Amino acid sequence: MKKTNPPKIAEYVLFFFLRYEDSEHRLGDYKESFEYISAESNYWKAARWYWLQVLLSIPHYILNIFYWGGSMLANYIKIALRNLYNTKLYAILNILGLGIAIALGIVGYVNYEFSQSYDSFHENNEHIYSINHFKIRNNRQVNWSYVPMPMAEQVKNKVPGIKNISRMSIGRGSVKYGDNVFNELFQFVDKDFFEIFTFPIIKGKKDAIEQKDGVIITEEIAEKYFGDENPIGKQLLLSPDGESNYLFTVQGIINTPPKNSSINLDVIISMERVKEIRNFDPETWDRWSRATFIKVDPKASAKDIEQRLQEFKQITNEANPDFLVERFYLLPLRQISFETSNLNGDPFTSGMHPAAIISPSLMSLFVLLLACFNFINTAIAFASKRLKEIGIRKVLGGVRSQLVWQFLTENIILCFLALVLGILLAQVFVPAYDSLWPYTDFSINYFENLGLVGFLIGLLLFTAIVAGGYPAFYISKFNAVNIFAGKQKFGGTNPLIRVLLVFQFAISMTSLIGGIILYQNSEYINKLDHGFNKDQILVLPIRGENDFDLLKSTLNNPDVISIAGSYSLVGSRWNNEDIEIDNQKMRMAFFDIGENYFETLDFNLLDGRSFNTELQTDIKNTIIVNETFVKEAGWKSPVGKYIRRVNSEESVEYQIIGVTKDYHYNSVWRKIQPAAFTFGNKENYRYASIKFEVEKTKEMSEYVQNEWKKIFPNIPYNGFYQSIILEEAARITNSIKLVFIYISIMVMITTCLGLFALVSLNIARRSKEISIRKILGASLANISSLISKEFVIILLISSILAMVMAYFLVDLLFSSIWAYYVDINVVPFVIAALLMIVLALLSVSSQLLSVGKTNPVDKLRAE
Amino acid sequence: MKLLSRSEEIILIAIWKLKGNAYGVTIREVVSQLTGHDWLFGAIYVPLDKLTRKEYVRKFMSKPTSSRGGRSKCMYELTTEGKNALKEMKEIQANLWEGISDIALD
Repeated sequence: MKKTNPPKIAEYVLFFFLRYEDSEHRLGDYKESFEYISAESNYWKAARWYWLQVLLSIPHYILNIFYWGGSMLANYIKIALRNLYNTKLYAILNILGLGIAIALGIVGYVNYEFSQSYDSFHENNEHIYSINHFKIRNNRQVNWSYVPMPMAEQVKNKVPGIKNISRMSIGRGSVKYGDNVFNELFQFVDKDFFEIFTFPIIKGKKDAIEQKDGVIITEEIAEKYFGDENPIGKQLLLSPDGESNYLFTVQGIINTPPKNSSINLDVIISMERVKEIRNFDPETWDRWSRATFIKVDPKASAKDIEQRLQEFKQITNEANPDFLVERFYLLPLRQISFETSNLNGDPFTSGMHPAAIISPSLMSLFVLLLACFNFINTAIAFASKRLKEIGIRKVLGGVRSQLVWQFLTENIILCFLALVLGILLAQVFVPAYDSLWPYTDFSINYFENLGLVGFLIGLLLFTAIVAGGYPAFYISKFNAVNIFAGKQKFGGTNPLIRVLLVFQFAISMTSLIGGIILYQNSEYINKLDHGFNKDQILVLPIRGENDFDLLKSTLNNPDVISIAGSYSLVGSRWNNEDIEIDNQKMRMAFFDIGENYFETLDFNLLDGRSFNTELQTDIKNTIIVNETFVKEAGWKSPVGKYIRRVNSEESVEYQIIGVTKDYHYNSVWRKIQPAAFTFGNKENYRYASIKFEVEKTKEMSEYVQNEWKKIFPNIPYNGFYQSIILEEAARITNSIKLVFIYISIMVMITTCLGLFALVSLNIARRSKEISIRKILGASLANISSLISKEFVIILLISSILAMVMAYFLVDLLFSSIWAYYVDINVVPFVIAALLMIVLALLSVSSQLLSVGKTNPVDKLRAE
Repeated sequence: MKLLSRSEEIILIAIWKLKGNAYGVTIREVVSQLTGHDWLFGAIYVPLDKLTRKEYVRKFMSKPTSSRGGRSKCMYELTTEGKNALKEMKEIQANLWEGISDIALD
C-alpha cells in the first residue's frame, strides 16, 4: 500500500507549536498539501517538503505564541497562586527544603570557585611562571622551587621572550618600632617584582623598591606597628639575628595579599641588600633563590623558554655536586596552588587541601539533587489530589498543552521562590562556612558568577519541568469520564516515585552514616595517643647555647619540672635524609635533640637506653630509632647495630642505642615513617621546651613571658604550646565533622518532610477505603501496616544500598584525608538505621494518628 | 483604519479573490502565485490570526472531508470592515502610484 501519511514526528512537532483550537484544521491544511505533492511526484519528496515546512515555520509560531500567550500566562499564574495558597503547608515545606539545598549548593560552588581562584587577581596571571627544578632521587622525581641566585640576570639577558624576572629570598628576624617588637618574615625581591605581579603601591612612592634603605610593607604590618599614624617615612629597626641592626625607612604600602594569593608578603626589601642582611654572596652559583618568577612575552612559547633554561644546568651542577638539578621547568602561576604539596623549598602558602575542595562540592551537589528528587516526588504525589480538577478542565475544553503549562507555571513559581530563599540563606551560610576554615575568604558576587546563576536556573527549570511535566503529560492522557467514575487511579506511589524515594533515603542515610563516623573520628583524633607528652610543654624559640643557659638559670620556679634543648621540634621541624643499612637505601626523619628532650617529652623507650649527657661518644654517633624503622629494616634486635647517614656533607655512621614506640611527629595527615633521634651540640639549640604542672598553665605562661622580657628585652616573646602544633589537625577534622553533621541533619529533615507529604497524600487518596475498613472494625494497627508496608520495603532496600555506599565512600574519603583515622565499625550503621527508621515512623505515624481520630462517617459522607 | 502590514494586505486580497473557498491551502496557493515565491504555512497563519483578531476576517468551520484524513477545514471570509479596509487600501495604492506608471514604462 502506498504511504499517504505525513511523517509522524514532524506532525507531532507541529502539533506542539500549534494552539490547540487551531491544531486540527491547520494539521489538515498541511496534510492536504502533502497529499497533493505526494500524488504529483512521490512520497519522499512530499515528506521532505513537510519537514522543511514544519521546521521553517517554527519561528513564526513562536512569535504567534507570544502574541496570544500574554493573556493565558496571567491566567496560569493566577490559578497557580491560588493552588499554592490552598496547599500552604506543602508549598512551604517544599520551598524550605529546596531553598536550604540551594543555599548549600551555593556554598559548595563558592568553595570550589575559591579553590580555583588562586593568584587570578594578577593582571598578567596567564603570562607569569615560576622557575623550578626537579631532581631524581631514588628513582623518584623531587621538585624544588630553588634556582641559583646569579641565574636570573643571565636568563634575562640570554633567553628571548622574557619581559621581566624577579627573584625572591625569604629571611626572618625581629622588627622594632618604639616599643613594638615582633618577629617578621622579610621578602627580598628584585625591582621587576612589581612589574610582574599586581600588588599596587597604595601609599608612598611607586618606585619604592629602588630605594636601597627603604622597605615596602603591607597594610596589615603597617597597622601592627603604626596604628593610625602615617607609616610613610617612619623608621623601622630590622634585626635578622638579634645582634646586627639595620635601619630602614618605610617607603611604600601595599594591600595585604588576599587569602587566595600563593605569595605571602610582609616586609619587602630590595634584593640588593640580601648580601649584608642575610650574609651571603648572591653572585655565587651555590646560593639559591627561594623562588624565581618570570613574566613572558604573550607571543613567546613557554616550551621554548623552558628548553633554553637547560643551558644553565651544567654551571649549576658544577657548583652544587651534592644537589644535582635534573631539569629546570616552568610552573604557570595559576597552577602553583595545586602543586604546593609537591614542591620543596616552601616559598608559597599552600592551596586548599583536595579533600576540602572535593567533599563540600560533592556533598552540596548530593543535597541539591536530593532536594530536587524530593520536590519531584511531592509534586507528582500532589497531582493525584487534583484528578478531579483535571477532569473538569478537560470537560470544559481544557487541552493538554494548557494542562502542561498550568503545572509548569506552578512548579516554576515554587522553584523560584525556593531560589530567592536559597540566595537569602546563602548570605548566612557562606560566612558561617568560611569561618570554619583558616585559609578561606569567601565572597559571593552573583553578577560576576554567571556560571553559578546559569547552573542554578538551569537546575531549577529542570526540576520544575520534570516535577510539573510528568504528571501533566501523564494525567492529560486520562479520559475525563474515567476520572469521574473513579476508574482512573493515579498518584500515591508509582514506579518513578519509588525509585526516587529509594535514592533519597539512600543518600540521606549515607550522609548520616558519614556524619556519625566523622564524629567518632574527631573524638579519635582528639584522644589519639601521639606517643609523647604534648599537653604540658611550652616551647620557646632560642638562638643557641647562651640563650639556653640563660633561660635555664633564670627559670627557677618549683612549678617548672624540666627544661630541654633541641635543634629539631617534634611536629614541626626535622630533616628527611637518606640512610644506608645492609647496602639498602632508605629515607629517615632525623630529629636533632639535646639534653633532657627525650625525658621531658616522655617518649616511650621499648628497648635499649636514651642519650647520656655525660658520654661524649653519645654526641654525633648514637641514635634512637622508632618502631617503624625496625619493622622496615626487618631487624630482630636492632640495639647495637649501625646505620649510615649518606646525605649530609660527610657521611656519618651511627650506632643504635635504643628503640622508641612510634610517635606522631607529622600529625595525622601522613603515615609514620622511619624516624630517629640524634644527640646534637648545645650551640645548635633552636628551641627550649619547658615542662610544667598541668594545673599551672596560665600562671606559667605569664611567668615565662615576664622572665623573657627581663632577659631578652629586644627579642619578641614567641613561646607556644607544643599541643598547638598538633591542634591544626584536630581543628580541621572538627570542621569537616561539623559540615557533615549539619548537612546530614538537613538531608534528614528534607527526606522526612518528603515522606510526610507522601504519606499524607496516600492517606488522603485512600481515605474512603480506610474509612470503610474502620467501619468494618479494622484497628489502627491494621491500617498502619496497610499504609506503611510499602514505605517499610522502600526503607529496607535503601538502607542496604546506603550501607554499601557509605562503607566504600567513607573509606575513600577518609583515606584521602587522613593517614590515621578511626576504624570503621558497625555502630554508626546501626545508629543511622535506627535513627532513620524512627524518624520515618514518626513522620508516618503523625499522619496515621489523625486517621485514628477522624470519624469514618464524616469522610464517607463527603460526597 | 487599523494599518495593515504588507503580508496582511496580500492575504486579505487573496481571501477576497478566493470568494468563499478560502482556507489554508488555497490561500497559500494564491499568495504564492501573486508574489511569485513559495510561502510557508507558518508565514500565512500568523498574519491570518492577526487579521481575525482585528475582525477584518471571520472564520467558520466546514464539515470534515475524507481527503484531509478526516480533518475539518477552517474557512475564512471577509467581514464588511475587511472589505472597507481593502477598498481604502486600493485608494491609497492608487494615490501613491498616480503619475508614476508613465515613468515606469520608459
